[in-house]
Amino acid sequence: MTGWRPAGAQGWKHLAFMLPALTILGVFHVWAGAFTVLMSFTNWSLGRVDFVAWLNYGRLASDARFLNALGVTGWFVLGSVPATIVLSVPLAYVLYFILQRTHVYRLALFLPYVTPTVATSMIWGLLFSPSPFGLANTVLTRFGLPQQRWLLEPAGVLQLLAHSAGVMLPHWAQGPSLAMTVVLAARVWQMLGFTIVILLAGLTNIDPHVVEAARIDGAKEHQVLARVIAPMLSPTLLFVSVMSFIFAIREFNTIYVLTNGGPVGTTQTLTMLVFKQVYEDNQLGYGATTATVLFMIVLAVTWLQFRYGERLVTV
Amino acid sequence: MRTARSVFCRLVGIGMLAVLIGTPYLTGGSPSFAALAVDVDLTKPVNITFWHIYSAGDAQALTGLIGLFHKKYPTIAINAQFVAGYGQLHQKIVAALQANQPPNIALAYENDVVEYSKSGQVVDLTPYSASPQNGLDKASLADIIPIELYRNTYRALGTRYYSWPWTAAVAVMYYNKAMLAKVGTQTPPATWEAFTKTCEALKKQLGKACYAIAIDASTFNDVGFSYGGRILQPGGKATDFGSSAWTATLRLHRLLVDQGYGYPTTGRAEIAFADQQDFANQQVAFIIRTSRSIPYVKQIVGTQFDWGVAIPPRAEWVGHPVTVLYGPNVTVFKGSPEQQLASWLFARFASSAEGQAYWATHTGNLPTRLSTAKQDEYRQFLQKEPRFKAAFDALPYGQFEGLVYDRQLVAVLPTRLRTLIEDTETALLTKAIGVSEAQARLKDQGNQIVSDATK
Amino acid sequence: MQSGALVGWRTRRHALHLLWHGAMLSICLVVFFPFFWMLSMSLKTLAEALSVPPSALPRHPDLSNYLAAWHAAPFARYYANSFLVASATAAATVVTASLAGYGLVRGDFPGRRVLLLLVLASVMIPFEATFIPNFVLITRLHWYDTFAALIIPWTTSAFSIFLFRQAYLAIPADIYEAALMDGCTEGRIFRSVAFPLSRAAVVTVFLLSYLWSWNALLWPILVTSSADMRVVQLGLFQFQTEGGVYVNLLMAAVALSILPIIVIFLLSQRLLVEGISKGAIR
Repeated sequence: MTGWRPAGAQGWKHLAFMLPALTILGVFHVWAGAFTVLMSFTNWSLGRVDFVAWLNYGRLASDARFLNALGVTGWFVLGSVPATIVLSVPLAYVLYFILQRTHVYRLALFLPYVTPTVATSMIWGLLFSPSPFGLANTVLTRFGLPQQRWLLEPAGVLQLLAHSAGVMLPHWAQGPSLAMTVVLAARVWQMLGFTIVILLAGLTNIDPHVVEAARIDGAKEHQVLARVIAPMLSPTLLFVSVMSFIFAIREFNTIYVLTNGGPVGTTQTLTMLVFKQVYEDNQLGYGATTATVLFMIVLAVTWLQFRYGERLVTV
Repeated sequence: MRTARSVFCRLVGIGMLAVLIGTPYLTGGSPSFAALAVDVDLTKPVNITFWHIYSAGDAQALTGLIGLFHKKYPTIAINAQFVAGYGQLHQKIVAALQANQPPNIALAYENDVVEYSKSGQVVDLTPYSASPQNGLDKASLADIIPIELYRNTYRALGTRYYSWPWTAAVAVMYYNKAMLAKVGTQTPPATWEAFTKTCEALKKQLGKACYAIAIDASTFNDVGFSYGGRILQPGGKATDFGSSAWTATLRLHRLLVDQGYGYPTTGRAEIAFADQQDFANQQVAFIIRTSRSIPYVKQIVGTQFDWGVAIPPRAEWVGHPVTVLYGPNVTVFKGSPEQQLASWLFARFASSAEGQAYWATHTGNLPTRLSTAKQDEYRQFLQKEPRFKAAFDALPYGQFEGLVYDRQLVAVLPTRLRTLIEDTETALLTKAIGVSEAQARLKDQGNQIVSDATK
Repeated sequence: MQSGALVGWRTRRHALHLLWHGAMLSICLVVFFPFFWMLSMSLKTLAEALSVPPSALPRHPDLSNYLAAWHAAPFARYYANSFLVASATAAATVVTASLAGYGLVRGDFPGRRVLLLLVLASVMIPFEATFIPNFVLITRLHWYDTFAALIIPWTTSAFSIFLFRQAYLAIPADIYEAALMDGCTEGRIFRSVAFPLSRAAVVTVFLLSYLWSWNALLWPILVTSSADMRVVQLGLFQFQTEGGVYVNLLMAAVALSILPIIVIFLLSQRLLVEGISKGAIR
């Protein structure tokens, strides 16, 4: 699929196609980003801007909140991105090949993404209220299970489960907090529809004739899936993987309304930390440093995804 | 290889260009104003912008207040602009300050004002308040609740007024009269000992928890103050969390959850229904919240049961009632001399007895001026609404969280300190840590935060 | 006997199809549950919405919340503003992103791969950090409190460019070759060949750009101030007061605010499916 570009000097003409988009991106996004990176070398706050070289980075390296945020962000990404993709792919497949005329299913799955986060988070907060009389706790009581503090519970999920068996897990094995687990569930719920919509668009790239031909040739359904559909879907999967990761790291609203960094910082991702440094501590330069580190991490992971992902992508 | 490098070079070039273009814009620089004349002439029409967070009924009250002001000063037009909530308001002001385009007047809390003032764009209101023509006379100043004036006197900024009292609210205890009557208590508990005894009775006789604890720094501080504690040590450079008052506070909280008298719910403003919810559904007998929630609780309780509002309990050996003061102030940003004076006049009018009577009656906020209760409008309102009367009576006992032991000295609490208090309270109430570790955390990390903030 | 076997096979297929419907329906019901709760709250009084134990259905379903929510603020104006901004943003994004995606795919200039990474890099720094320099830029351009500030910065997105790139990559080489052999210029190829074949991407980018613009809250708050520039999302904050959140009214307002998106979504899915069946993709 890659050998069809016209050889020769025509290449630069295509930059013109990109000009409108690049201008907007450059002026409003790249400039702001570059500025943020440069401000990370200053002590920028409301009253001053002085160049401090690598001071902020040094501070960050030993900042307990930053180190905590690294771990929390890891849990957040690991907990939401793979789960969303793994759940979305079969759903998209069924919606596209089997139930393609029933749009109401797509709508139901997409509604969580459409609804403003302030409202959805409020509902989740209500359903998973720490109060003994919240809906989740009422359900647990009916089944004779112990009530939980849900969004207020800083203890690790694995530790809570182990506790009921009377076991005490070491600190590193306790898992994300229960509050983080609820946040993850809310996020997967929200992103499911978004991922499905993209996958549905990507599935239209699959040539139905090729699929038919494979079926006529006598291939069984799972072989068609593995040998025909999956390869043709792989570029879309790479796209979904890259964008889901970026969006997961950038996630702010859901966490902000549900826990605001969480019980004892257990839902304080890097993005939440940037927000706090900039707007609560009023340390804009230091916040820019955290944002830059975050940027580097995302850039590295995205590059890795491209590097190894494109090998797996056959188109 | 070459391609990547050329792109990288291009990027660095963009970056350097960004700095060249951007830095002067962002540092803004405090414009060097010569000493501005305070008492300028206001015969020409002046337009000022006021950023606030009032919606629904409060917004209508604001329009009414502005209308009253306009009658007195027909040349001043106020463009009141609604900005979602306090979080968004703060972000908008920070961005506006970076762009050197702040509003003329806006709602702000003390710790935010300290930050804003670093940009050099906040107006010192001291000369305005002292002006014989446009300021307040001694009697008028003395009529303002002293703690409100102290709140707005920034010790760190030369002990001057960088904001002005706007409105007040206090922490109050909402109590379920019916439930209390069932266990034989006719009056709300005035001390923590009585409170705990009532909880015990409620648990034994009704099998119900008595207190839904909303995790919130201000509520926690209220309990600490009610044990005679302070947050900051004299001088305002270190916290006083190591004192016995805070040990008692932490012990009380832990006792409440250990005995099943209380349970924690979240204080997150956006989803803080749980405590009000449980109170309105008679699952608990007490909640401690701002008096601002009285109309809301009224609506969700309806006629289900009789309830009242009282000042929160205190330690037995503390001789007087204690509560915490809430409520934003207004701060004026630099503009033309006419705009600054117009903004000051509005702030002054809002804080006058007439303004406060109107505002307090129509919004359920509490006044910042003692003589407001003598104004007919407000007096009748208090007669009709005993709950607001109870909150109003608690007003003189309101303490400001940034208070140092000498009432003359006022500091502001960094937001990080509030987060530390809430995190520690969460850890304590979810039984993740014990009382001594909680106290150690508050003391050590609190001292670190305060010393960072006062560097 | 032959017809019996045929009937048996058809019934089995029908039954299988019904099973799929059943499975999908149950999953959708689970996903829909919080949303159902939201709708239920929008029909209750405030006291009932916060009742404990929580009741699934309102006792006296009441549409007055919707009326009250609509009248709580000049929502007609807010909707008009949101419509204008979201439509302009979505349309512009389709144009800029499709052009850029095409250029990325067809262009043979050096640094192509890196450029894609850079385009993506432009969205990697969280918005919470970058909106201050962007805001200052807006004021320097004298765009404060104008539609330009609401629309223009969002008239393209790395996501959309990337999506279009994938769409154009998926078009088989021979189609491009054939067009070239016919003597078409690149611009002609884009207009008549590539763009029509990227219908799915067009529909998806339009839908998502519209949605992101419609749901944006912080940026509109920052760059506008006059009452007649407000958007629907700000209107939703009418119901969050210092004393408490009027959840029943808020949920009614939210339900009203997502109606336009639901319409656009259903239309977009129809267009998508239509495109497939008409063979427009191939």
